[in-house]
Amino acid sequence: MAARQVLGLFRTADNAALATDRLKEAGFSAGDYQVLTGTPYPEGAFGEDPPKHRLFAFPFFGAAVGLAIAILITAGTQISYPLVTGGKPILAIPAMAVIAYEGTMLGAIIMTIIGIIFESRLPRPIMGLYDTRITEGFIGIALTCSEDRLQAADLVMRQAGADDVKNDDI
Amino acid sequence: MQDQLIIGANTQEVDAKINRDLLGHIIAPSPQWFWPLIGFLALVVAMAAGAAGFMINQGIGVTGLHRPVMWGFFITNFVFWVGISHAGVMLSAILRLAQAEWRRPATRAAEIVTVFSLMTAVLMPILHTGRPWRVLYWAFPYDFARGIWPNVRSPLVWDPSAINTYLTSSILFVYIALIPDFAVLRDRSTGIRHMIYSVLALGWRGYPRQWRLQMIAGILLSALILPVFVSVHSIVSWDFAVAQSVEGWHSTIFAPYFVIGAVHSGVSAVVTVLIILRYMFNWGDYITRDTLDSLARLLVVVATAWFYFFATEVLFGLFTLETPEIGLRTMQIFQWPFAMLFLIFITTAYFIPVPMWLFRNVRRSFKWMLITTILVNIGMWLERFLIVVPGLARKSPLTFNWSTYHPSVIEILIVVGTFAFVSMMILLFSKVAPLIPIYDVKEGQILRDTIKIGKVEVPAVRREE
Amino acid sequence: MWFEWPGTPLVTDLLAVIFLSILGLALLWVASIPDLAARRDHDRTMPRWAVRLTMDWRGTDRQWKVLRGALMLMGALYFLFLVYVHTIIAADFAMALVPGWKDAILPTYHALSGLQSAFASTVVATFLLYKFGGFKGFISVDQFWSAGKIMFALSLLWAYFWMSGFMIYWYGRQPVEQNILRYLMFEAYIVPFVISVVFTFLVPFLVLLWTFARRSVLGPAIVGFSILFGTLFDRIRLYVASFSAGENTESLEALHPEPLSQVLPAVMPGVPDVMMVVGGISGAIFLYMLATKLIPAVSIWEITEGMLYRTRRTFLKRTIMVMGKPE
Repeated sequence: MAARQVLGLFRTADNAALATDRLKEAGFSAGDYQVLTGTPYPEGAFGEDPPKHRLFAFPFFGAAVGLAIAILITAGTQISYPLVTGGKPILAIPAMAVIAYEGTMLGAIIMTIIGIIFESRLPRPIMGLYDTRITEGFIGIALTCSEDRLQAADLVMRQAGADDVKNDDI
Repeated sequence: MQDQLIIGANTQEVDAKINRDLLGHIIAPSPQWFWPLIGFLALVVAMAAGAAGFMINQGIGVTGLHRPVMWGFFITNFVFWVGISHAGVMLSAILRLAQAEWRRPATRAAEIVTVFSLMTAVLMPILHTGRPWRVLYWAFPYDFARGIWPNVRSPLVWDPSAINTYLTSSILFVYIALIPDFAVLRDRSTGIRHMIYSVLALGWRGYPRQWRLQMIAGILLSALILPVFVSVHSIVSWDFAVAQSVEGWHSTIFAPYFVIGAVHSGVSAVVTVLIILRYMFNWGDYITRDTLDSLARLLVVVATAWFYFFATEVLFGLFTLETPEIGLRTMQIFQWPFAMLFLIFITTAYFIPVPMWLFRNVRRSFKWMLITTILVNIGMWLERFLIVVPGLARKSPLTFNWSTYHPSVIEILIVVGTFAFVSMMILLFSKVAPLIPIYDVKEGQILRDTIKIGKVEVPAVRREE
Repeated sequence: MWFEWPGTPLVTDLLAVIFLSILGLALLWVASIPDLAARRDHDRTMPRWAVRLTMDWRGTDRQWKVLRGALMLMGALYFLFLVYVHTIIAADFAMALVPGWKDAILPTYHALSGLQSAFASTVVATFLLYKFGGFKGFISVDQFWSAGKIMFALSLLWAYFWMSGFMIYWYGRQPVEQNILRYLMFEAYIVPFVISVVFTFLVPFLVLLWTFARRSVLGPAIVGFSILFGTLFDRIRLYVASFSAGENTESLEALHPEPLSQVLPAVMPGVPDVMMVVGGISGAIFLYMLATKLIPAVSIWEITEGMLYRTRRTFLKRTIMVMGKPE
């Protein structure tokens, strides 16, 4: 049976929270649905589990790469054309430290950005079932279920106070 | 201090109203004054570009730069715009880490001011070299054929690495925070715009994982950008401080002094920009007197810290009573025309604005905050000028090198052009993306609450532990 | 024998420190009036002079308003004055033509280092109260967590101020400045220097970088002890070293363009020196403990006020903390 998608739109957060309870009672598991909001709600506001992510590994990796590249560039260029300037040694540690510091931070920040985009499961060319009213303040509950449970899901959401329910029949 | 409560029957109505107000002329037609103003600013920028072109064609001699004053308006302007760029991190990063609710309307404008002023700052030393196409191999290690590499022991080479790091980080930071707002724009637009915003929004849907990562992004990136921001202006200050032969420059306090001066002028500039935007786009509900009050209090603290560093720099140079230092300070403070500039600088940068900001009525008045913050930036521009030029003017090892500095029309045009450029870019940006972060304001509304203590309803904020 | 009135900073030093102490005691007293009054109401054995300190406090609206205004004003004044006092004391040194001291950043560096170690000593005191003072119910991880964040920032600032000073000296290759660096940091006084870098910067940075360490009681406490230890050695390095070099013209000559062999050896402390340092620290701890006999170590009225403004409520499907922001 093919997986189908249903999207219920709720005007208030209370209705949406109620709907998640009703869906659980109706036998759907938490992994079947996602709450779509146009605003960040406090974590767990709709009963979802905290997301597991490995974002914090990215800055460390980026910092290491940035540091390596910076040291490579500064040391490499000075060794290949050793010209004493200002009486300072060819490999002047404080000077290299400044550029190494900038390189480290740049690497960390760029990898953090990549990490955030990646861990957010973006970019996503095929968005899935969505409604533009979500960014107008409506709260969406996007449910994935099998064909035969489609009607049940629709009914549960409408009974919980959904303003609109649509599915992926175009 | 909290954001204004946006009135609506429920969250959905509030969100819809916020969308309407803050998306403003991105989806609706622009106000009548918009394009003529852009046209005027573009004209000024074009004149500045023409002046720059003329200078490149005719040589640096058309400017007022002359031995021994080899650094003048361009370098002053460079330091000034790098200074202004520090506002973004101060307001966005530090206030985010301090969990200050009142930062919400101000962060995007601050970050945009940062990005564009940093771009302008980068232009200044490039123009100053007179032959910009020759400067790039000297800053970036790319010229394989000549075998000549950048001298990494020079602060002038640390500058590009620091400024580019800060610029890249700021642009990426702004972009990441813009993704949910691009999603709002994607949902509200049609045709080509819809396509462009869809691409920019990367397919954002708004489920908890994505929002969670946005929140973490804000905090993590703020923590990472803060050290960069401190290092950038320190490195710019070291352009001056590591010099041996210019009086008044070889001082260990330059790094923190420049950084705090940057924060002072930057935050003032952002306040100026916010007030102007408020009137231009009717954002009275979002940029409120409370926001202004909080910003003004922050400014008092920052300005006083700046004054402490300024006083330390001057007094600890002077007390040892060494002749060169006395000579420099005498010239800077008592000799015409520097005397007049010094007087204007010290009154406009500190002694007029800060005592005024101690009064609640002034802090909550848009007119007076606009005036005082513009005064601050006039003073801070002059401060940079007074650091750069008098010290150099006193370098006269040979009698035929006696010279004072007179800025030429070219330099004045280019400096004025930078102000026009930054203003124009901010306005053009407002046509493309919201200058007040939409989801931040919406989140602020959700997190509002009240606590009843006796008869009083105290405003409160919901906080995750 | 007027100590070159009013020119020398030594006189200003004394006046500044006296005034700061008076201000600090005043702040302590005013902040503890409600707690002393609470004790007065429940403790019949409270001495008469202590009862007089409560200034007839009854907790009326007006009294609270005045108290809050006074604390805000005095607090701001105290902080500003603290920075000023540190600057003035360090100015004693910075204004001298003694190598290593004639440094515009020294006062600011000293003020920051003072702030950092003051924070550290507060954290250490809080930790000792938590562990041995029986205050486990009133002091929680939150206090250490917030203090840890601030100590992290201050430690980074310490490194930054050090780097600002170092870069200027290192870059120019002036022989005097190079010798100063060798003397104060890399050769003669390398041991105190390494100790201060490790304990004032590296340990705080590497420990407080990790969330689990920041968000604990032990992490910030260890960092507090570390900072205090490092700062002691930093002070020894800065003030003993430079002055002993400047004491006679011979050694002053040594810090002028001369070969490396002329850099002076370090001054080692004698038994009286060590006893003075230990005695000073013990004296401070003693005064602190004495004060806690009179004034509660944890402010009762501030905790109860804080409880008024915090509550937990359900929000949709979770409980969330609500914090009042009276303004």
